Amino acid sequence: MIAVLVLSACIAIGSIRFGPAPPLGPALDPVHGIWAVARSAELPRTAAGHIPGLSARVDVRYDGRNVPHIFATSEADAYRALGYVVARDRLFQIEVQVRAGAGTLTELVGAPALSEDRDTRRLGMPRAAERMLAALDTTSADAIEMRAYADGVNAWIDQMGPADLPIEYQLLGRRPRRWAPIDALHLLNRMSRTLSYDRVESAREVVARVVGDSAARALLPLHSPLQQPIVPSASAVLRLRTDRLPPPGPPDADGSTMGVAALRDGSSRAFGATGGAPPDPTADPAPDATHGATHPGAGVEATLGSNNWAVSPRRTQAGYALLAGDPHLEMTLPSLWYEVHLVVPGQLDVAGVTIPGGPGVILGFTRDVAWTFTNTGSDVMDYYAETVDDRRDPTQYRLDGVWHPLERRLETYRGPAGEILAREVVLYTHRGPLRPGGGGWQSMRWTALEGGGAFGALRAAPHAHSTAEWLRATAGYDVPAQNMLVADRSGSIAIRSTGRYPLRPGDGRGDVVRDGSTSASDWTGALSLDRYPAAIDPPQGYLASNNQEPVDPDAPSAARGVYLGADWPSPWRAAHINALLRADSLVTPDDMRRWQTDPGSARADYFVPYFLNALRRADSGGHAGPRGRDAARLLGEWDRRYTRENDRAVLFEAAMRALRNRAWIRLIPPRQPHGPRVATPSDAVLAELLADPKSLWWDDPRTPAIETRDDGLTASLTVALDSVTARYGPPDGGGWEWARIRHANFNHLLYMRPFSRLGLPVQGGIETLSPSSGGGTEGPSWRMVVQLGPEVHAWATYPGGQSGNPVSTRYADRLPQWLAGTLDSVRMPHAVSGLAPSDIRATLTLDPAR
Amino acid sequence: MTRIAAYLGQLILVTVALIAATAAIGWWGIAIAAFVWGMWAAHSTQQDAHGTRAATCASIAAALAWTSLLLWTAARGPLPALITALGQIAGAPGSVLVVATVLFPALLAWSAATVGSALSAYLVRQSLPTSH
Repeated sequence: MIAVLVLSACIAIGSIRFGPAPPLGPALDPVHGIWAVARSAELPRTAAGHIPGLSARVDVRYDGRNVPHIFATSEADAYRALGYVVARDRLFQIEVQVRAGAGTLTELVGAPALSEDRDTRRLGMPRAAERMLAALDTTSADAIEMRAYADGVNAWIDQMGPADLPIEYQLLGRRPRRWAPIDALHLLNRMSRTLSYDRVESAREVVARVVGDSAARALLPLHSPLQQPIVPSASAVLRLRTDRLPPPGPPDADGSTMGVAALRDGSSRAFGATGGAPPDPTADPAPDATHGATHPGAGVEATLGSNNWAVSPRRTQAGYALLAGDPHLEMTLPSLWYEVHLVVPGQLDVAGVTIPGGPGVILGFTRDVAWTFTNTGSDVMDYYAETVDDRRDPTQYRLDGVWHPLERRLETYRGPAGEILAREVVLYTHRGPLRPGGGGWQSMRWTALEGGGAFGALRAAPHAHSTAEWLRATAGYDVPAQNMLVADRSGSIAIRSTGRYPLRPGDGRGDVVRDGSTSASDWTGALSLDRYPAAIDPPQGYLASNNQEPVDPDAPSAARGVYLGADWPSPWRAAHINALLRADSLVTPDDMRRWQTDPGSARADYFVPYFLNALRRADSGGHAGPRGRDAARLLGEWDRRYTRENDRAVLFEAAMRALRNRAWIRLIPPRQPHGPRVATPSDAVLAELLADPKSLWWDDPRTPAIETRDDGLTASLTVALDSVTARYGPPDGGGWEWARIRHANFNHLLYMRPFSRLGLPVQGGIETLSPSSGGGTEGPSWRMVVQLGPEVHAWATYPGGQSGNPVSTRYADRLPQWLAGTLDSVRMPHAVSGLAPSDIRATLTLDPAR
Repeated sequence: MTRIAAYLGQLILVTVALIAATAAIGWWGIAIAAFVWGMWAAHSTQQDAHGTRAATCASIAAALAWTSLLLWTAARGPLPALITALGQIAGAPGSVLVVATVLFPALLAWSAATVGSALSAYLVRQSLPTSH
């Protein structure tokens, strides 16, 4: 009887899931379970596999950096092999990323992902992917490439042994799903969402309700008040366009709280509240409308940015063109990127990084050209206030006086066992998804839902042999718009902000919610290629982009007068790299590498003198006080470099937070005095405000006195000293050291702490070239320097490693290098025999399926 | 001495069988193989009615089988690192998971072999002619 009970208990424990833990039986099984993961941590010296559809054998050699060099005889075979090797190293990651784009994460991780999936589907992303696939010519190269890649992934899934099942599946008690060509489109949509989802219309509307429309337009301006454009202009240095912000208008008594609700209605972004006690004046408030989930660390400059720059041969020491790039994205483990080299003799020879799950090299180089992107951040998403037949349950919308039926799409959210977690109907007008917003219903039109040109462009790019060919090859690229920088072996450098820019009727602006009841509000077309912001071989001999406004609105250019977007990131990084590039006419690859982590800050250079001068004036007027003098002395000691060992940046950042909190206090709705601001204008707008010492924005409405700019600067720096001392101890006690304060945090995809790397001290701060802000979870996700001489030479790294197996030595082996700001030399063998045997870590032979 | 050698031989054979069963069909292999072993042992060796010896043998063999497989895994990859990481995820020392990996098949095999022995004994009793 006891034995029966014990047997029953063992079987129950072995096969039933208790809470989040997987069933114990299969999990503990040393052959097929979690322990088996240890056996697949490292690549076997030799391995073989089969892929259906392969036309000939493919040889893969993993070099000493664990980069697979794929030698195939056709491009389709190369992409089959790419799918295979990426799945071999990153199977769980590619499923997570694709499911995130498809809105089916719940099927993998269950109900906790329901909210994320709802957002994805309400944005219309899976529907868009289905429509893109349906519109795709099945005989096109794009379709062939997607199928080939899917074949490769599925071949790996079919052939992998029990030890190869990634540990995340083991812990979740799941099996990998099979791959389909549409998955590549889901992945692309996911990237588009990360890089082109913006709600400037709503933000402006909310701000207008609090401080009036005129002020709202100035706080979230069409053009950056500070100019250092991508397309070189007459002014080489940072230029302040205007020196006067319109004063805040009277708050709208009804709208001041409604605005917050309006934003909550339709936005997927985090939007917290800070009720209770008055906040620390140097603390970041809760995320606001303009700096939410995609701008971690409310009130600081955006960290999802990127850098790239290129130098003409006449300004380099070796006389060859140089190119550098480092896209700043979410830093996870495993990394967003996977490094690879594809060789098809006579057709393709490209090295660089691919996004796991996406066919093709996104950023990289051939023997003739090198390219890298930064995000343009253009406004490619518009909202329309629709007239519907029923405010509660609309079935029709009115357009040009005629009622049109709304398209209804039933979305079913399933759990891991196929159980239905939720169902909902997502409505569509001819423009796109319809959602509650702005006190009514708003439809959305977004280029990401109408894309399809990116694959062709990225596939064609490695076939170019010059910058001119490369620019032609990528002309059809649509979304997300990117500042595409390219250099070639002949010494040409070029940049073009490439993407589909919608043309709007009337004033052409896309930062307002338009009237949806008339088709006259609809887009009238797209900007023609010849009007894209672009520069080729500029006289200055270098080009750089750092997500800033592409063209100076006051300078003549083909794109002048065209609405590309609004509320641009401040050009601090651009100002700094341009200064470095201007100062060096004999640039070496090592200079390029060093600059990628240069700790200097144009932002600190701009603001620190304002603080010090204000304190000096206050001191001469006898009202600085001893703490103010101390604060000024301590800040004055800073060299304005965010090195790990510096112990003054913390004071500056606290002072900046306090200054923002003072300057933008009127953006807190009067009815919610301890609530969050409705928006945080960029530091470029703050810089504009500094030019006006008596602006009403400097006055604190809570006091009877009329404060000025100097009052704000003095008080902010003084309170910063108190706050930093209270938190980190005395100035020279070691607690202020930057390495103790700013850290990079690499979270595992499932936020499993043992598989994450957290609290790593970094060099860099807010808006330095290697930025670190917010939660430290965004930053340079790939660093590359390429020299295009007779032989191409490249150096690169990314934070993480090639393997997705957390116990592999290849999981995070590049992190120390990334932290140190050093790069590896990238191998680019011409043929299988091009790698020295000592540099081959593993081989893989792929044959056609028998 | 001969009996000890025979028992050890038996233990090794059952261990190998359990390794093979695990490799073939996973953790259920332990339960099925131990059950079969319990039935066979009871039937062929006329053991005590509760199959104690067969169950003990199965239990030890199962622990040895999965320990061997763990050692084999350790020889082929970073098992200690994995033990540490999984322990942190589980909120317990990693050694607890290792102990569980040895104890679980032992209990499973013991109970399955005992039930097998009992069932075999029952079937034998059922097949005998009833005496009055």
